Amino acid sequence: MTPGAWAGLLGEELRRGVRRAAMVSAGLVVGVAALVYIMALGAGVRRFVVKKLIHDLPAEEILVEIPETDVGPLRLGRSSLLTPAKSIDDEVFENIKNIEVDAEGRKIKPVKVVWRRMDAAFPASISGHLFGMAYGSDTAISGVDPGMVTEDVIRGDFTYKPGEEDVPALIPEALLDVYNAAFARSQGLPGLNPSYLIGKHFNMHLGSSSIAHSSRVIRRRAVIVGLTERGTLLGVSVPIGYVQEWNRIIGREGSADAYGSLLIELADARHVPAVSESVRKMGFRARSSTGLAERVSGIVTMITAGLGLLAIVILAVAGLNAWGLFKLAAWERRAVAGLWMALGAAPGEVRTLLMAEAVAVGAGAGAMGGLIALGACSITNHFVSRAAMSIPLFPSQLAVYHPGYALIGVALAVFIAVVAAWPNASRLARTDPAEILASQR
Amino acid sequence: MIRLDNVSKVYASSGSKAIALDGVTLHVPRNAFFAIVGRSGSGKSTLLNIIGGLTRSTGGKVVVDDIDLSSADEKTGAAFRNEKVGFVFQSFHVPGDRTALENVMLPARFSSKTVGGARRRAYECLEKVGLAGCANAVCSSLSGGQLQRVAIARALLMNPPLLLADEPTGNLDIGTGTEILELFSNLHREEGLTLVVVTHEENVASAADQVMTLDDGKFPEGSDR
Repeated sequence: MTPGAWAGLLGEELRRGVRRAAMVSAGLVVGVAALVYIMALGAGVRRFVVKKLIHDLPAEEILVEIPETDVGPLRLGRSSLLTPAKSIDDEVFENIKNIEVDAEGRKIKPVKVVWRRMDAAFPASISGHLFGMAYGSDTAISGVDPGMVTEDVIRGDFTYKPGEEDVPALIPEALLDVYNAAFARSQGLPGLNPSYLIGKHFNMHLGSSSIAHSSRVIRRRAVIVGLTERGTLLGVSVPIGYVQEWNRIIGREGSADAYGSLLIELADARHVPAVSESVRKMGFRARSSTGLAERVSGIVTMITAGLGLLAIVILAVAGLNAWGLFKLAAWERRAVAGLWMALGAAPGEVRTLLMAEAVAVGAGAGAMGGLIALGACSITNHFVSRAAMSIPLFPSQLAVYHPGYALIGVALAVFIAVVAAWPNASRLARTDPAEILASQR
Repeated sequence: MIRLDNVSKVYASSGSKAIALDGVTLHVPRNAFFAIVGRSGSGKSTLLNIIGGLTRSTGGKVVVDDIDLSSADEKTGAAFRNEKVGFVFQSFHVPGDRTALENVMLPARFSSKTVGGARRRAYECLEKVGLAGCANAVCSSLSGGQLQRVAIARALLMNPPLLLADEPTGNLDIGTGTEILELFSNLHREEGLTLVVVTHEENVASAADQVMTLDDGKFPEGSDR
């Protein structure tokens, strides 16, 4: 057969078998659409989690924390009564600064700088006025080394100055998002922007909250000097010297000497694994963006794979259905195939023609599934972007459609159609044409 | 044109064997009108299928138009069926969802060469069989006699030197059968075709130049008439 005649015959057979092709395609379309959609969702979720939630820890930084203690089903944190928590004190701070690792056969000190963070060991609350309305709230207070948040200070001086009236404070960016997306909407208040907040004062009630009180309460006025993502997530960050001072006066015993965490900055991100290992050997937990991203990415991949497996099951069922339909089609076309062979078609050509039909049906179904998935992704993103306007921290896009996913879907659909068609096409091509034609009398 | 030497065909399935042809030797000269008669199950159709390259013999030698079909590979066999032989079947085998013209043009599709003017040739063939006016008619709307004429036109498309017909009038009424028989005689006479017809109908056999009777897969002594 010449290629032109072959293509013509294939086109005719596909036109004649539109109904059959539609039946074979249905399952494949659903399976491919589900698979591509799941892959797009997985990619979107991974991107959101890794880029949006973990990006605040740059690649060359390691967060040192007190490890949680596993006691059966319980996970006890640093305040566990059963196990005395290991604390991060000045000695640990110095040891970490001087960590040595092997690099190209020699010992080097890869730590560039270590930032400290100390949590207030007392209840606290804040109060003030916003748009002429009084507000008040319990809060967490965290002290950070000023160098750690230098870039977050917009106006003013973020240093520990014991004699001054105003305490410089940083508020979390996320808190602003929460206020704008949820609180302001529900209360009918105007939205806030950073420039409005800078320079605003509020009062801090140290040792007093709505649920607990210390024996002594200190009242200080604070001034907002910037917004940060590196301090406490839902509270106020102040220079560490203030928290050390307040912990000494109203905090738990020893709390002025124990840091909540340390942030190590390395000169070279390649040393992250070695330094993390040294930190772990010292008995602390080391979190790096790389490790965390890998872990989260792994979890998302596992969930995606699980859902993808469901799509694969749909495709497998579609494959079985296609196999049955191709078998029926081969049986129905025995007479035609016998005639073709009597008129000069080689058995191999009959088989190839049926296989080409399967490839065409699979490719068509795969492309259709890919298009449906694209539509589903667009609809998902439309609703997600609408939801993002009212839900804090919510991504504006959740499904990341990549043409490569559709290509994988098409390849899979073609593969399934080919596998389903192959035994039937081969059996038909092996049949004696004389026998087929005689049986049609 | 056709030379068969000691050809046998045995069908074997699940331990049992059925001998369809048992040492058949036959020579059909070019331009002959040759009829093979015999009872049902005598091996007539098997013999015709072997001559046409549709079935391979299990023994002996089959040479048709200088092509040794006993040792031909798949591709050679397909080209032989496409170019050297035209088949006409009892049950027509004319797909009803195609037009007469599309059916007649089918063999050109399976040619290894580009067949120039296949459409014009198809019209000529339809004209030869008296169906020029039905070229674009869908075959499901044609009568049995018309379908057999379409099948004959299809068999002529590639201009083969050999026409093989298996009970060509078997599914037709007497009048239509006679018309088809006349058509075969004309084609044999005017086109110089070698015609081999398998039949159990005496009037068909009597139109042939030579008739041989097959009995239990053999040509018995004196079967030639």
